[in-house]
Amino acid sequence: MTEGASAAGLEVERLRVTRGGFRAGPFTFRAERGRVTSITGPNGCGKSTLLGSIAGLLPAVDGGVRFAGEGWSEKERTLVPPHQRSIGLLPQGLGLWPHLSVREQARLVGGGAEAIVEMAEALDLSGLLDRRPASLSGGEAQRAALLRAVAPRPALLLLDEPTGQQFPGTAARVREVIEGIAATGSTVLVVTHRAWPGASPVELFRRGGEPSGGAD
Amino acid sequence: MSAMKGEAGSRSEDPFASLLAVIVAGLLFIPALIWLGRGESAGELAPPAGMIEVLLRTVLVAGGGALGAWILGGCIGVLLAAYRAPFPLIRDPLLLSPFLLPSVVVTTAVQSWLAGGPLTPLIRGVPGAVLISTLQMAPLVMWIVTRSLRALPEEERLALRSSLSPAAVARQLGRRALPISARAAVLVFLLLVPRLEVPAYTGIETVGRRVLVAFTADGSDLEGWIWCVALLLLAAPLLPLAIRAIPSGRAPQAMGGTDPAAPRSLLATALVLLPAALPLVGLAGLAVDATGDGIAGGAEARRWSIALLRDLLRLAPLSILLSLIGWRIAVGIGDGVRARLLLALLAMPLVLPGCLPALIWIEGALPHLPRGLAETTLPLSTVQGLRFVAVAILLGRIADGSIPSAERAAARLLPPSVARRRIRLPRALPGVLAGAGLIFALLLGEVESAAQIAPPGRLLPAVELHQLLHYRYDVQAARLSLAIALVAGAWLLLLGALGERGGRRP
Repeated sequence: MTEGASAAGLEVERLRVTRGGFRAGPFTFRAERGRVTSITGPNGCGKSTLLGSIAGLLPAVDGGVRFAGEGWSEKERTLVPPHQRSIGLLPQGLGLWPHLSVREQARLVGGGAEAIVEMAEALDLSGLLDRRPASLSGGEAQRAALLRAVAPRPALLLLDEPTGQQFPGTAARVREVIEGIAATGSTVLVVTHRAWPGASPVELFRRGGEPSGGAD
Repeated sequence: MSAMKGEAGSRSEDPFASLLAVIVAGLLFIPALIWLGRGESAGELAPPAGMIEVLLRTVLVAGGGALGAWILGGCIGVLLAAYRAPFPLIRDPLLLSPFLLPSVVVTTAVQSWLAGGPLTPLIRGVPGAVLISTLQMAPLVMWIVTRSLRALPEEERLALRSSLSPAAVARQLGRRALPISARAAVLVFLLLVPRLEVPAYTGIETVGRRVLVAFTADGSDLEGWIWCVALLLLAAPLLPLAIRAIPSGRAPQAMGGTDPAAPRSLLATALVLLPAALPLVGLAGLAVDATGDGIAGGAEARRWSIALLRDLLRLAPLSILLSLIGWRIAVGIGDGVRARLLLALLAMPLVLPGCLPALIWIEGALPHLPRGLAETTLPLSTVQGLRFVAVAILLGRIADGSIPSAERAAARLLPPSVARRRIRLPRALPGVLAGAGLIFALLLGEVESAAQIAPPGRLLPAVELHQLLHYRYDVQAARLSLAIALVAGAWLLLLGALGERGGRRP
């Protein structure tokens, strides 16, 4: 990768990932700072696996991930552990901690009290901040997990189907919030089945195949 | 940001856990080195007589017991997960009762129950040892299996219940239980290999008994060490299987939890309760036997009550501390070669006869302790804790493995210490507490090191029980053992209820 390319924010180069017996990749693409980049592709092509590997939660077997010019992983080596990457993650399974309220979860990841209230209002979660995940509906739980991901204002936001469980009206609000985060300079990577309006697309065509939207 | 090399796997090594493991291992191995350094072990280096025969018999008894416990405990565990048995709060302590009772008591109870009938040949020799070991260890396998199966994600449980008949659900759960029950059976094998009481009471000679004789009676230390090495060689290939590879990614459930969608079944309940009932009925029959000589009077009962209370006060915090240490080592020690070596070291006291850590401490560490300290229960607690630290690590691994993978993945974006304190410990707490209950039962029934290292004048229930049985005061022994089981069951119940409360989803 060239020095000039590092300004792009996230750079993924020939990344190959394993998850159980499933091998995904190689993936090569860039995601710019201050923009939403959407990753689309059919079921089983490795979209969620790719996000897990960028976050440092799944081991890569080859290739590399760089962010803001800093190497995060190189081949099988993790250079920066997940908790030092300034990442906000909305995983497919949400991963909400059932013993903590929505507010406590957002505080725990480093969200400021005011930012949490502000973001909760934007996500229509104001009345739910002191509730625990078990008392939330599926859509509310997904927005709570999104709140936890965005509350610390991460430099890189990784979102797996962030509007998948939302009604159209709420989905539009969620999109606004995500685009607002991108506008503040964060790099936002969204895995989605449908195209994200205004986003830079990266399309993964076949199961574990090369992306066509990236610059490989 | 500083560069850091490491694996992306969820079990990366953390220095504090390794240090903790080294400290715990050092508590045994430093005294062992002092003991060995005395140079009194010189002798002829030759295999003891009948070594192969004794080894084979040991494998036969431990393997047979583990296989029996695997089949019986696995089936009960699956039935318990597939159907609803009544009284969930007391069900688990009741089912665990054969495991909670000291093995010498289970042996006596089963022998008295079966003696005189057509099953008399089953109470002595290898068949007797296998039968009694099966009955005592099946509850442990059952507990691990039930815990794993009850922890299936809710969506998966509902999908199973809505699309299959109860019998088909049980078959599906049985398939899922196979790997975890197999690992539990390996743990049972390791617990059975060094045992002394059951072989002694069924009249067979095993490696554990030969080690005891070598170190305490007419043998030589060298012969004892040769037997120890043989035991370690026997157990070494199985240690990684028992310690590693506990499946992860399941939702947590506290131990007394029941799947509300499970149907009730009287037949299943009866089948489940039968193995627990056998030793208990035998014991109760003995305890109410009015013809027994020397029935315990009020003074004796008071003496036992005080002894039990003092042991409860000693072992309750020790079991919780041990369970927490085991959990902390389990979540932080990693999967590398160094970690496996450390775990193998920590598992050694488990696969060697229980008297050995005590003997090592008596000769290696006690002379260097201040007299005031040496005459407290601290050395005994240390030795007993060292014996079961590997069990604590294994149970800690199971407790940590019950945290769903999505929650664990989300927690990995937090600094490790925050993730452990705020997410992993609270989420694993039901398992950690339930594990403390099991460890408490093991400690309460531990007699081998208790007999060696008990402070002067201190009455320990396990030792007292052993003496009562030795002098054939069967009625008193039955009563004391029922009291021991009651105390262990009550503590398990309390910890289970606490874990249930802590782990319940709001």
